[in-house]
Amino acid sequence: MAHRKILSVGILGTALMLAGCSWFKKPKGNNAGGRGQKQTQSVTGALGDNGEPGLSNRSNIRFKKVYLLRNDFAKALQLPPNQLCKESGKDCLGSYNIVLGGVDPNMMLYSRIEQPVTTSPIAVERIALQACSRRVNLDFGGGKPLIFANIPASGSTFEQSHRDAVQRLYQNFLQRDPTDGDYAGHEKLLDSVGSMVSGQEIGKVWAQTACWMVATQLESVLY
Amino acid sequence: MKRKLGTQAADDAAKAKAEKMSKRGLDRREMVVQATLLALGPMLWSRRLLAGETASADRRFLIVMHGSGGASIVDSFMALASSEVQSAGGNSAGLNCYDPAQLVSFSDSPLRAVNYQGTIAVLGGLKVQGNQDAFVRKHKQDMMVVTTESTSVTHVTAQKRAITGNEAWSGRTIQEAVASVYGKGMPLANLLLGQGGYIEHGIDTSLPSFAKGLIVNDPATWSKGLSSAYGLDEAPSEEVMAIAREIRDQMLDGPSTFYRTFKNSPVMQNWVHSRGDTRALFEQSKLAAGLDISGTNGSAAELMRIFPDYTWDPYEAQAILACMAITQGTTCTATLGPGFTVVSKGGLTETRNPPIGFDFSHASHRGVQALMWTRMLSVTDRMIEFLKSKEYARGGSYWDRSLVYFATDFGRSRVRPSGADVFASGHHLNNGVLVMSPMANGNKVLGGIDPKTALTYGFDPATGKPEPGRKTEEKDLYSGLLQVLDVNTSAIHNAPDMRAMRRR
Repeated sequence: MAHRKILSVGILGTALMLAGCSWFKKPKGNNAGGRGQKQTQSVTGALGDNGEPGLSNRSNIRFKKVYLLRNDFAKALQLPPNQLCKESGKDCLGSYNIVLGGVDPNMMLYSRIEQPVTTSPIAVERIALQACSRRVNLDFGGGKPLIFANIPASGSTFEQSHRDAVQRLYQNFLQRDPTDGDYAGHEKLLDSVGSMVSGQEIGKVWAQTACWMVATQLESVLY
Repeated sequence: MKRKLGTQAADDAAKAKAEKMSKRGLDRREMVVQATLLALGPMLWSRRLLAGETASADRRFLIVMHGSGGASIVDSFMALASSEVQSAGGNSAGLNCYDPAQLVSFSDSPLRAVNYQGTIAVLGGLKVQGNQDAFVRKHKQDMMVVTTESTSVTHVTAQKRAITGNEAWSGRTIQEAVASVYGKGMPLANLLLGQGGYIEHGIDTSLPSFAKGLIVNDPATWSKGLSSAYGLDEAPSEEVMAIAREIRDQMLDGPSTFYRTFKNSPVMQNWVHSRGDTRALFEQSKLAAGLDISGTNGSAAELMRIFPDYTWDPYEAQAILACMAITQGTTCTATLGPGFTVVSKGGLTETRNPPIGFDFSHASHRGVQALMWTRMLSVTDRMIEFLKSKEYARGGSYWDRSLVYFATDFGRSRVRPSGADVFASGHHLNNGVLVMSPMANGNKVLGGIDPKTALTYGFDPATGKPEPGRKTEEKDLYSGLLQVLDVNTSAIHNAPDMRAMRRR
């Protein structure tokens, strides 16, 4: 009899403990939660039961330091890493080395910043704009285009060639396909550019800014 | 709910995002908070407020002019004559003291000047022509020497202690302390253009974020990075960029799984804030154009004439950027100085900056001290002249509100082989620093020097009276400098009142 009592108390205690653990894991709001959180580990953005990705509790995000950023941009745009951008004729990454988390022994700076400074995102945007412009100039320059193929110079209708270019941008920069919302954003961009830019420049300006938008997305510069 | 965008497309984008948010059932409280912050953002930090605050503020300016490697006070403003050492019973042949012909004294000043002429053999026989006397004659009323005894002869450690007063204020650097008082409303309050421990951040976690220093590694081109498109020929129009930015933020990033998963990350939040409000402020204030070292920028053109060697001498480029940043209301403290790398327009015989700066005294003490002091005083003289020529909004000039702190790692050893003019020196804790400011107790040497040992000693903090046996510690100097700049030092534990360092 005593043996049974001890067993019952043990089972009850274990059950309570397990339940307690699950209570601690219960989501506090719509966006936090165990199941959804796990599923968002996937790069495809799998959603939880409520259609929302889980909110990361650890939020362990870092910004891409200078060489990682340089190599990722160079690979995405298929450009030589030392020719992404120039400032006063020199490789611009030298100008922004420190704000992008580099070190400089000439300055006796041997440890890099781990947190971005206020100018870090601005420097990234500047590098992206120059790098994207180079890719666009090459693709529109008569050679075999690598990203922006058959983009109409003057049309502001979002065609298959635009979709293909957007798809390549997302694959190259973010290693995923664009969502419908992403396509809608780029279509909106083309519509806006079409109303702001003169005829023959529409395609090129759209390509430049579409590339810049993807290159500077949070998903591209943070990890 | 978002800021007014001024375009239909952007409004549509905002509306689309709001609809998507609602469909997803996003937390209402979050939406209200975001909307409030976005609405208040421009009011909290607008260009108009920034300009108004900058123009009317009763600011002070700190220039940390660092002499990396050990700028020796006994090879400059406290130099000893061999006759003085002999009179005191010392060994003038074995002590670093100067022939009276190389030393200049002044009847109306306790300051000294060394006009050393010689060569540096290890730099290919580089000729050195020291001429400190012209500088002292011109600026002595604003020059104050403070004797010091530091606590480290390791470069970076000593450098860091030179700007933190050996962690006197919870590890807050002197630049951060000044920026926290005078830098509010300034976009780049604390500009770090120099090197080593002098540009390290402090460790005081209570420091306001605007007072944290921004490190500049390439002063000639760095300012372009204050705008995402300034000066780029291939850049689309500002209007197109604004639309692209808005679509990216609201239609691409906002709904993305990545953002929604990690939106609580401080790194992500800072990133979003910096590329949004901060960048907008920088671009509206035209900071990149204002601080661009190019002929098309009026204020830069003037400074490019004053510092014509900026293209190959980074110290001159630093000086240009520091002067522009201070007089444009962008910065209240700038740190600059010659570095540890060789600077030469041509070969060895045209060396302007020897390897490891002042520390090349290990190879040739007097020649390097003369070369480096001349270099620093030349840049300082030109900066002071520029600051004197610029009127501050509340009256007077920028120089009237400025202080130059010649921070250095440590002193140099005092002994030499018997009678040698060319010799090597090591690191030494004992030294003194030059402070220049109309607010400082100018034309003074605070403390004294023992002619038998060539070692300096301290002074009474209240009266400035020399007191043999007393030492001016890093904390004392740190506190005194802040007090000259009218910064409240009550947060420093047992901060001394260094009344003797203040003019009034």
